[in-house]
Amino acid sequence: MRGLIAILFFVVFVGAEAQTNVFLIGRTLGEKIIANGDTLRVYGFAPNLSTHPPIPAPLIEANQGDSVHIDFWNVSQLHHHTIHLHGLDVDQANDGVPMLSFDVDHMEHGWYHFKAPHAGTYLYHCHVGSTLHLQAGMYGPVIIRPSDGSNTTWDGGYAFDTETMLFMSEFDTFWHTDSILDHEHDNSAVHDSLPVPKYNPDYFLINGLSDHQLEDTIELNSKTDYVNYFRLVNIGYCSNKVVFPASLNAQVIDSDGRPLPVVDLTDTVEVYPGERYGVLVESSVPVLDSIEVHYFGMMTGAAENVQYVKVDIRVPDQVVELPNISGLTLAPNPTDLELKVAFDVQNEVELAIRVVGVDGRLVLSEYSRTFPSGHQMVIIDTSLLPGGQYVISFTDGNTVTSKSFIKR
Amino acid sequence: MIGESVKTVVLDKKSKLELVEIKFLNTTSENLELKWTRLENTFPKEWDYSMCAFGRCQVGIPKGGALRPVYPGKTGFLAIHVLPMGSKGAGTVRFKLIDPADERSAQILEFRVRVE
Repeated sequence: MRGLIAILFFVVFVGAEAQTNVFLIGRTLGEKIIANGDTLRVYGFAPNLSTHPPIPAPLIEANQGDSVHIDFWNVSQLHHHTIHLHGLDVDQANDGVPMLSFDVDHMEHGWYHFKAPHAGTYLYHCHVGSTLHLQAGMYGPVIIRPSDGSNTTWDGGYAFDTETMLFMSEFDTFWHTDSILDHEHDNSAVHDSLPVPKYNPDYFLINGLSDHQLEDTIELNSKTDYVNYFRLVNIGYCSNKVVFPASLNAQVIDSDGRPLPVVDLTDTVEVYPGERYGVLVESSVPVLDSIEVHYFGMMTGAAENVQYVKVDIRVPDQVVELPNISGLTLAPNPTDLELKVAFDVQNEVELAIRVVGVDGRLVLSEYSRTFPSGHQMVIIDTSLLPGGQYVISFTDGNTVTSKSFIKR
Repeated sequence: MIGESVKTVVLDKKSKLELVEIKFLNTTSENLELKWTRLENTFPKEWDYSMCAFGRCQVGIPKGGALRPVYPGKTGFLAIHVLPMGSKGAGTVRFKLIDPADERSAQILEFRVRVE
């Protein structure tokens, strides 16, 4: 009986611990399209055999306290790799530093196990010939969420409405040529150091993209009074200076997976290679601006490049359905000269239409008329409106609904 | 060629075919600088797969490529890896292995896989 109780307790204990399984494949003939349209050869960690490894590598995500198991399969003949779990405080056997634990040869599996530590932002990367393998693309993010998986920074931390990761790195395209990447692996070397050329990065990346590739892909689209959490990560060889617009009221709250003892109220955050910072931003008024990400040479301190991340914070739409109205659309949005307002009327209704600024001030005179049933379209002349966000509201006398638009 | 130039593998849909290879020996006194082209690929689209051509492990199975030089007396190979992703089915991949210096000596290599 005592044995049965012991077994039952064991089962309950094991069952209570959530498990996260991760499968990654090491590759050295990956392809990545860069901003000028060229295809660059990259190394990387891929989620399957038939797709090129993404840059950065797939996100590893777990809740604090979870048991995480990584099955790393190396399918890249002539190259050894590891997964180093940067900042996760794992034991030495699972640390992925080859001379202290193990490396993974072609067609071998490497297993890494760890218990997800304090909620925060971490990294993983290959630690074989690290200088080259990192630049080649073998890096990715790790997010440890609070124990309950909620949208809070850590257990008992700040709640947030949106979350954006800015994962900074660079490409030196010369390093991505066969003559550099087809290096020989020296099994006998205690520390696998490889000769590498002078580093002259020519593409400055955020989440693996740069310049026009960032448009409409990496940006903050949010609402006024929302709390927005940025995870800043630098895995490149430049230092970064991330400058938030003053209107976002940035607060730096955590660094390298741990809360800061004192919140730093600053719009500018310096992020050095391997570092991570957590920043909360919030605005009570609409913001149409950009976050600047500056890149500086580590040896020279010289400014190398700036990339921009669009910020578009708007007043939330008032989503109250008018009983007789459906399918309300505004186009184009953003607009230049005119705004086409389309909707369907179920039964004849008298509607008043107003355009107001986000401060509630009437900017275009009220338009009131009776609409018959069927599809309706109203064209509003916006040519004289100054650039900014506006709200168009509809009322049938009892109920009001509104939608926002941007005048360029 | 070392062994057969056609390899047939049968596996369970829950298992993985991590590696099956067709090997060949360089019996000449010169480096062999070979190329390969894909002639056919009828693997089901549900499967996840890729191939290695001596020293160059590709993503998926592209149309063609080159092998690393095979030194005299050394062995080269073409290999495939298949993860059936729980899907039954059957398919064949055929490659043509070419020595650009002697195209008449081209060899056909074939992998037949059935998942049950």
